[in-house]
Amino acid sequence: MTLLRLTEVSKRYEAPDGAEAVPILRNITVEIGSGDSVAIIGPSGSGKSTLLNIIGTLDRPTGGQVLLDGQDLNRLDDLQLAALRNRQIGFIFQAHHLLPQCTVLENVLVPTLANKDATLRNSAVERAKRLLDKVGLGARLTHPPGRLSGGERQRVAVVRAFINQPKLLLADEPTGALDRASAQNLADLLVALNKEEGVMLIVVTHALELARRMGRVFELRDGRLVDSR
Amino acid sequence: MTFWTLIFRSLRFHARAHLGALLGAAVGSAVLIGALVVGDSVRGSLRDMALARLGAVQLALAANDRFFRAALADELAHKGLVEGMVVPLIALPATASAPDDSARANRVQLLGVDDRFWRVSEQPASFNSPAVDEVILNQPLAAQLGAKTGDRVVLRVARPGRLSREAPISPQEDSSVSLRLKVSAVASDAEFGRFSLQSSQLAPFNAFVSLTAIQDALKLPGRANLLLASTDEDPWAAVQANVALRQTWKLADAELELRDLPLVNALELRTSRVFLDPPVADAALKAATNATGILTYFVNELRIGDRAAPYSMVTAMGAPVVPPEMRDDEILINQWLADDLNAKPGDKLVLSYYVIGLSRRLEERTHEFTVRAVVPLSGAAADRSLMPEFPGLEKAESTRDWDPSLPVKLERIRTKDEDYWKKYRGTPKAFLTLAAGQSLWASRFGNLTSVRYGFRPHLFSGALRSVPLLKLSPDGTRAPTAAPLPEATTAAPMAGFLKQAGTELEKKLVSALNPASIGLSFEPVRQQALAAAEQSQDFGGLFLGFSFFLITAALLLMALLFQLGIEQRATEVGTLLALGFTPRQVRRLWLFEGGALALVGGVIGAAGGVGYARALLLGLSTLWRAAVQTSALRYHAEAQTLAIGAVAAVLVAWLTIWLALRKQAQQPARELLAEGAGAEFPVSRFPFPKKRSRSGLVDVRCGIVFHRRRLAVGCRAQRVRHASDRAVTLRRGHKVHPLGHGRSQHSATTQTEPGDGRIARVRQLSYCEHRRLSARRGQRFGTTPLGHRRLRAHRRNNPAGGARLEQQGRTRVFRPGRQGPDPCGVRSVPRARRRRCQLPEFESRAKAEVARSEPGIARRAQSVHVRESSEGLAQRKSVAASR
Repeated sequence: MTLLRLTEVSKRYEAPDGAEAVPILRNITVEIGSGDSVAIIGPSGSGKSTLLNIIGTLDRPTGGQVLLDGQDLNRLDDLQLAALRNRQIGFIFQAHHLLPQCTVLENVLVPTLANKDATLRNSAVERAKRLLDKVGLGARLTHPPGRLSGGERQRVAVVRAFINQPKLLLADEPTGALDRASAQNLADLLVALNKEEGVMLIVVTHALELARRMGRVFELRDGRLVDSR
Repeated sequence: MTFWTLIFRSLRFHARAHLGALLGAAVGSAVLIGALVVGDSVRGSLRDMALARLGAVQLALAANDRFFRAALADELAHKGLVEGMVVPLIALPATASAPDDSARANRVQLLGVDDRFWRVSEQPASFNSPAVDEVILNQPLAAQLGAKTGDRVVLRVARPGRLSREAPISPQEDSSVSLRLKVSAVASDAEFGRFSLQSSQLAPFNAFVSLTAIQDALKLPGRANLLLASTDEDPWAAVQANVALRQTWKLADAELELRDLPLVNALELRTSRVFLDPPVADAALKAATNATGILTYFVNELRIGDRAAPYSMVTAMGAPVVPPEMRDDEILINQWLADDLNAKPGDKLVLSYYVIGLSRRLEERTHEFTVRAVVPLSGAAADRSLMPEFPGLEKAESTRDWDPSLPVKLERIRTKDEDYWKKYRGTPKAFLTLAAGQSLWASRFGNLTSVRYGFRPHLFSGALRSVPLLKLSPDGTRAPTAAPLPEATTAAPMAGFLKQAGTELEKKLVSALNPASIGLSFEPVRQQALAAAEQSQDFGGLFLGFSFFLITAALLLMALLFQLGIEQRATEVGTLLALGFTPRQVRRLWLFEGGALALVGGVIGAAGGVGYARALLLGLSTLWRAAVQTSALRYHAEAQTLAIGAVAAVLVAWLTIWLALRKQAQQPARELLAEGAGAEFPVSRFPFPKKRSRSGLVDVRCGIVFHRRRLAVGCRAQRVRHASDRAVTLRRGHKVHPLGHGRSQHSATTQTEPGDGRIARVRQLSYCEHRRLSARRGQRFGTTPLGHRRLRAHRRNNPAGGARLEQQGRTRVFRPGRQGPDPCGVRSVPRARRRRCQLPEFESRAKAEVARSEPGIARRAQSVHVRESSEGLAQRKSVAASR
């Protein structure tokens, strides 16, 4: 079942002084089903992150349509997009972006604060503990992120992305700042979560090793998405 | 996990960063609360002073120069008309000195008191009321005189005249009384030493003497001029006391006397003050239909031609002496004067007399009358009681004993005058109409010397009957009896009648006359003093005004530092936004975070405000003593004031934070996250001239700018992370503009994203690299200080190029393109072509130039050159070609 459909999505950046706009993405059309895992590779500056941002509603395309679960993202206003991000999309950044002032558990629970549903918020605590336990951080719930290793931080970020049971998980170079072993662990975790939770996973990466473990691999070349497998 | 947890965690984690903001909030709150507490303290101190000078006294009746019966106090108290204690006093201005005149105090308040006085003080006195030869001094007076218990002091007090000192005929002799007394005690402020009815922040000089002693010394037995009452604190106490006073007072309390004049079958209301006060005269005339006014005056001379009689009394009156038809320019003279002046009806008689002129000086005036008739010196015309109690005259046995206080030349008095005085005393020698007399002699002291009530003898011939004439006429007018009184009547019934009529008339007069109209009235002095303390200059408002800029500055600093702290947390904001928080939720988080800071700052400030107020009070009592005229300022703070101040401070701080945060969290999450990722290059939002600062310091820039088509006033402070970042205003994601379009600076150059001109990388270039890249972009090379620094560095590293510069004598300011060959071999860009800066043909030419002149630099420049995709470059070339 198609969860995400991009139709003729393009993105241009206006140039200064009225010069012609610079195209980044050109007419990208792709369909990704729920539970799929996708890697997007390409050279720096090829627009991978831009594409990920457009899918993650952090940016809007210049042209084309993005349908998430049949919902046209272009038609949603900023507040609706924020709610959508909160409930349906999970983000994993290259830099973990954990809040340094909060403990591991609290960091995981931060996305639930934007949610007005109190029962969901309450049930999230148990879920957070279970997930943290699953990623091997069950004993470190009260630790601040500062005391974790890079790999552990990234695992906390993964759990945080999962906490609201999103349909879509977006990872922007998740292993970019990790050593080989940690990167391997994280890749295992992502793949496992994708399989067990049935969440769609889109990974932007330079690491071919990680890319190879995804179900589909696309290369972004000259603003076009090319299926490289 | 709740919002509050997050806020609490943020506060704790960023506590250090928030310290500045907290300090700002605390200072703002302290200054605000301090100012309000100063206001409280000034008000409280004034209130304390008011209470110290009044003790338990609620009401006071100060008659000043009028002396009422001291017994009035007992009558008011015993009858229960005034609740609490009523105390009679004599209060007079005096001077005090040491016996050897080594120390002196003017403006001393001499208080004649008895035991009762000390009972209305707040605290019981530790001493007894002064005995007859004793005096109690208050501390300031004792200090001024250097006197202690057992010493002797001399008090001089002016003997109060029965007539105002301003009246022309009050005695002029030295009327002061000197008292040499032993100091029996020194009264502290708490022991009523500060007693005064005058509201003053300066402690008065008080000397307390025995009431009876001062009454005797002043020859005013049983008299007092001040009543104090310690009633309950009732706003109507003064009204009730005045009602009681009206029921209790007697004519004697107004220094009035109603006496029988059996010889002329009349009652007479007169006063020891010579002139009846206008309200008294008015009430007396309205009290009965048969009332007639009399004005007797002391004249200097009565002259017809060259004959003159000195110093005589002249009376202006109506019946029975002066006939109603007599004109105002006519005068009746008695037989003695007619004989003396050899006068006859129709003669012109000139009257000389003193009046009070301008500046209270005595002026002698004259007035001419026509002699209408000569009256015999008998009957009503021989009534010596027509002369009022002129001080200095009324008891003189002989004219030589006169002390009329006027400049009298006693040598002018002839033997016959002396004989007249001995035989007839002050019997008037001439009579005017009342209107004529009043037009000459009326003054602000009054225009009557007595009011008489005459009776017709047939009303009481034989048995005593009722007194029908003693009814108030309905319209208040009076109908003087026209018929002359008979010479003599049966004396006994007349006397009885007058006695009864007098009693009834006194009742009428007392009820008709309001004692308040002659200054006998209780004032709620305590209420007034407290109200005055409350309504005093609002020092709270004053200091709040003075502190306004301080408060504003503290709050601005707080908001600025808080905002700075928030801006350091761009990544956190980006994360929250990416996780689905709305900008509003993020701002709300901060607002509560800031609110918590404001709250804590407000509470700290409340404590600080108390200290600040104490410091100000210390200053006001010492350094700025002149401003408040007292050193007795004590700290007072009402809980209400502290609470209001703290709440106001917190609210204002919160509002300031809200204003500062309004525009926050507006940037998209991806920019904020990118900013966090590439935060090596902090950026100034305002294109201000840069001030270099060292690494780690806060770089603060303020100014007024025209920003995004709006005039903006603002400051921006940011921490500079690396020394090398100092003036760099470029950062990743920013678009590159040529110089002249606002943004681009020169200390670093950039690698841009392909095609979109946004900065992908920033790196420092050498001087020549920079020059060439500027040239390639068609930019004018700036002459910023950094440019010069780079030039110096270039010289160091390239001795040849540097030498060339030296040779050409360009050691000061190097301006590429203007001053000869360029050390970097870059041709200056013609002004006209700068706009074409981004055309590929120009770029390629610039590249070629660089490659030709310095291949090494060209290679390095290549590495930072815009790496465009072949497609992008081809497209741009085609665009250029089409132009």
